[in-house]
Amino acid sequence: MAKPKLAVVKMTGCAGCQMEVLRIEDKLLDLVGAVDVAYFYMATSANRHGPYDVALVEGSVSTPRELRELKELRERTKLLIALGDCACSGCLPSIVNWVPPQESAKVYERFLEIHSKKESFQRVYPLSAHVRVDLELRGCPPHRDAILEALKGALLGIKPFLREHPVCVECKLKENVCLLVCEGRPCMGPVTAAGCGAACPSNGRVCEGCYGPMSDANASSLAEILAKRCGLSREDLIGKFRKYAGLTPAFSKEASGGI
Amino acid sequence: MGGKVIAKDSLGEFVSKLSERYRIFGPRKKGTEWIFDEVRSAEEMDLRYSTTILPPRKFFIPTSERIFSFKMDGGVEEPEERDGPSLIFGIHSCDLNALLLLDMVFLEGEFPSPSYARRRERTALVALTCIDPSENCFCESMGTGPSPAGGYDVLLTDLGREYLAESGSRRGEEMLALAKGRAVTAADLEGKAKAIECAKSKFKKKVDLKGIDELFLRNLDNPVWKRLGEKDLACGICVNSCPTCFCFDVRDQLDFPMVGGVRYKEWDACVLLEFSQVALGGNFRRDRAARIRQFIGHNLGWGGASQFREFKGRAKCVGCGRCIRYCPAGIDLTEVVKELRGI
Ligand code: SF4
Ligand code: SF4
Ligand code: SF4
Ligand code: SF4
Ligand code: SF4
Repeated sequence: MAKPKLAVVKMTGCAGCQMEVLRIEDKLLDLVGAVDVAYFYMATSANRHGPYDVALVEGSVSTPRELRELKELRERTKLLIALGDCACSGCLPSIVNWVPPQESAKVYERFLEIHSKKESFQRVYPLSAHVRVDLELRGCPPHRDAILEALKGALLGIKPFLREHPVCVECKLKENVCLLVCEGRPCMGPVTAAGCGAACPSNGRVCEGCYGPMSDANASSLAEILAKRCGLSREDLIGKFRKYAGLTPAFSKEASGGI
Repeated sequence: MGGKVIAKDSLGEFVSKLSERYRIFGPRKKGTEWIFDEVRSAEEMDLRYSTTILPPRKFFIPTSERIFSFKMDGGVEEPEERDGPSLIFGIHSCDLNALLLLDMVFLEGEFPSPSYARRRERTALVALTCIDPSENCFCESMGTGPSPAGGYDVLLTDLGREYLAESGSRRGEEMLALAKGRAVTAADLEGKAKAIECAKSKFKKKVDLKGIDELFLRNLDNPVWKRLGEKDLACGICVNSCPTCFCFDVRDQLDFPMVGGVRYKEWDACVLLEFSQVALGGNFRRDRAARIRQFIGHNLGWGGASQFREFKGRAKCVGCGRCIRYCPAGIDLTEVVKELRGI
């Protein structure tokens, strides 16, 4: 039986998610043994065009060319997996959606000469805004264990176990001191999907929400708590909810200031 | 059973003697909080702790635990348990009573758990009378404190300059034989009674248990649940903090070459959406309101005598106060009871 063909494709993103695929180091050889890596620009120069059995797609869609490529890829791919927040929810690139062009111009000196800007859409959206996505691997970047879990699921045709409950679950099970309750710091853990092993709170930093909303995120209640307990202003709250997943239905109200 | 009075100065020596026979786990400071952690001496412990982040059930039902490993072509291997005797030092009355309740589930229930039984068996318990309950405690209302009636090997009560140490089992007798101390007098027992009375006067939270099962069953549709559901974050902190919660999820994890894997279990929490999800996305408690009602209702209403007949007139909740202390949304089950009673 021929090995399933895997593609790792990049749209608008920082390449950190692809890096994470490479960081599966200890299992990488097993992975290469189990699948035929047909397209992975960061790892090989022998890239072939589809069809693919599985495609991991990093990044959000910000140019007409990317949109064209994504649609073609969808047609040539059995299982299309959105890899990381940019692909799942827009993430950092999508902050542009909230910013008027004049504002961006203040940051970039010669704004109109930026090549990507000239040919790009004014707005950036996740993959699911344009094509059917079979699985979303969230996180900025997703944890390599989750990437492996998704690939195993794809190869065996079973549903992978991805944590949809909040970061607080992993955080508590590690017996961390709660930064929000005990120290009054603005932690996004209660509304953020787990999967990172509560990486930030376990190192004394508040969760920034980089896995996007958990399965039943109560954003309005947390916004109220962060304002009351941690003294966050309306601006601060908008920033918190916009940063990684402001376009998602669970966060959009808080991200647009409707608090 | 016998006892001894141990001078506080001699406690260190007692602990070091015990450490020759047991791995000792005691309350240790962690930031603003405390955790039960392995200790090598009395100095590493803080016996004036309020409560711990995770309850002692973590020693008997680990947060995550391998049930067995398997190979795809058949063959199952259970993990070997090699751990020797251990000891929990300074367990509070609420947490001790919580273990007695878990015993009903995992030892006396329909499906006893051999690993739980082994761990209970090999773990000695040195309990501590609470002389200074914290602001969220309400064990007195629940009949589980501030001093335990039994279930311990040794019970320590702080008498000021000395500890009254009473044994509650054969193992406890043997442990006390290692301690340097003097004989117990009537005055010491009186001192203990006084310390308990004094502690009782300090409780700030109370729950009226009268007819509480019915109170909950009558109020399944009370608007209070909807309001709580709007505040509740479904973060799971309350359940994971609770010393008597016993729910877990079972999952399979395959190794990458996919020739085998492990089946493991991990603590689960009814306040989470996935808890009551079934095949094809069906869910019995999709609303947060229904889930917070399950947590509070199971702890104070239908988790009591109606589920555990032996637990006459008591509830599943032992009044440790952790779910109140650690809830980011400020949800307090003692206040909910008052609301249901219309107070
Ligand atoms: S520190 Fe953050 S993630 Fe951890 S329990 Fe507290 S709120 Fe949740
Ligand atoms: S704790 Fe939050 S911000 Fe940190 S890695 Fe996890 S999801 Fe991301
Ligand atoms: S700790 Fe509070 S906010 Fe979190 S699930 Fe429990 S009741 Fe809800
Ligand atoms: S319900 Fe709350 S107060 Fe009662 S035993 Fe559980 S954590 Fe403690
Ligand atoms: S309160 Fe919820 S998690 Fe705890 S034992 Fe009951 S059903 Fe299980």
